[in-house]
Amino acid sequence: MKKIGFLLKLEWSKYRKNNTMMVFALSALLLFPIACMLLYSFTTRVIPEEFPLTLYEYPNLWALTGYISNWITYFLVVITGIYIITMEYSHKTLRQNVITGLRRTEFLQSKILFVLLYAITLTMWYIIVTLLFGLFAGESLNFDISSDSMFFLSHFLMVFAYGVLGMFFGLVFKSLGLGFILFFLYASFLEPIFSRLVHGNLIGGDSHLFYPANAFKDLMPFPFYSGLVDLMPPDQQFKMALTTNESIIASILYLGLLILIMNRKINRSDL
Amino acid sequence: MEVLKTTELSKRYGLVQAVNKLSFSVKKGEVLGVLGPNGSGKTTTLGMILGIIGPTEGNYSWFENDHSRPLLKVGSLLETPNHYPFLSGWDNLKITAHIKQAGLKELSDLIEMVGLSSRINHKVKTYSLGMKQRLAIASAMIGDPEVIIFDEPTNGLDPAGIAEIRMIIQQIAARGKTIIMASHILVEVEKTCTHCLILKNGQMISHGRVDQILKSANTFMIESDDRGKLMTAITGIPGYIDHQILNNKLMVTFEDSTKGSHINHLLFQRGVVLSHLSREKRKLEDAFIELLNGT
Repeated sequence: MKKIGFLLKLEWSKYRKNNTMMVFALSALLLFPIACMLLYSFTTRVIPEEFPLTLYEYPNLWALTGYISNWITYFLVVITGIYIITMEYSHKTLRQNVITGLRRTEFLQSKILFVLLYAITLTMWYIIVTLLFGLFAGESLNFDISSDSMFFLSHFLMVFAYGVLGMFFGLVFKSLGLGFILFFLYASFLEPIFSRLVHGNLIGGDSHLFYPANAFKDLMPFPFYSGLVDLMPPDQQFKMALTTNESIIASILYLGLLILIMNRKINRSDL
Repeated sequence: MEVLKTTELSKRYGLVQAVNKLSFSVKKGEVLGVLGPNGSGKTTTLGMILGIIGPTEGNYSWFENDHSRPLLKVGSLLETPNHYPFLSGWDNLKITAHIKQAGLKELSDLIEMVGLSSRINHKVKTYSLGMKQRLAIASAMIGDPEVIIFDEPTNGLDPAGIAEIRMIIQQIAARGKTIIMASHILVEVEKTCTHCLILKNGQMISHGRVDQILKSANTFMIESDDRGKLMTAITGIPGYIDHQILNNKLMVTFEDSTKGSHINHLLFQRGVVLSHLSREKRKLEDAFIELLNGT
């Protein structure tokens, strides 16, 4: 615990007066409730009042706000992950930290701990905003904590995974701009195209859904996938997203792999 | 006590052998100057002993392996100073103190020593290079390190900045700290260092006490009213190596054991009366160039 406190204090002293980090963090915090309110305002305007909306009732609400949070953190947490690594390379402060006496593994641990704490904070914010949203839109706090807690775990894992994935791109490409562009190209184009067109056609089945960026995204998937699939004729139905358990297991495995690769890279490369 | 020992330390970048089987040791209290032309492997060597460059062969040990985290006992300024530009000088020092697990009490004294008191709460991105360099020196001194490493500490500074940094280093050396300093400025090394390590193409070509390195040539300035007779006689003196004319005097190099009184006596026996005889103090620069050319 003492070491965790030591490393988190070190990270905090680096970011507490860093405007870029403040912009990323405030954007992640503020955009989420704003996006929820915009969605509510839109749905209540276009959907007739007499049409019963279960969208804003638990557990659907957790899934809906989780999906909104997915889009926001997809960009903001990944770029934060890239930034906390590339900032140290561009100012040569990683090198300076090591010269000063910080072990390379401790440097990586401090970043992972920061991302972990950030994921916990954003998940708490997700819970608070969703509860307030539930009160506002559904006039209810009627949810089952035991079954709905899977949403919390999924959300936490998703934010943590995005942060670690960002760190990985930062460590490999060492430049904020390049790292983010290549992440975006990979996660938004390369992986979906390869997994669906190449992997999907060659191997078939659902295995193409298990690629890392998709596994992380499917922790908080589009809430109406199952409804959409049900609308299709039975012989044309296909799996659009991983199940919660599948995405959690795949994400944990990928997180372990990413952390192992980062640890190996940071310990073996010249700074 | 040996604070640092390297054994056949080597670093290869592809086809380039940056450092080749470098073995040396530094004892407590020594001030070691690491000299060498650009690309001789000075920074790579310092980078390896500071753990930011992995050796391809060989190894090194700090404090006879007596400390589990030796770098906490080493302060260093490698090449350019590296700080968080969006933080103040004070915040940057606090980060170093945190990593070094040192208190904040000493910071004020260090800030005063490097003359940054009036600007310490300003963001580092507003500092000049000289101020960043001074902040880096203060940072290197945090935690009262047993060893301090400076790599080209006056690089990129104007003459006033160079003089300031040199004075600070001399102050640190006067405190009895072990210092390892790579520098191009030989006068600086000659004035500050007790020992000297000379590198060329990644290999060590000389290592020892500065006064020993300077003593290895024995040069005298000699003059007589009869220059022709002097030049004929001088070549016959036992231990004579060579001579040249400098500032209208004869600069003659003899073997180490040859003494001035002996030269005077032998020349007088050969009928040469000297009007000037003085021992020429050798400069590190001369020794450095000779050593580089001789390999």
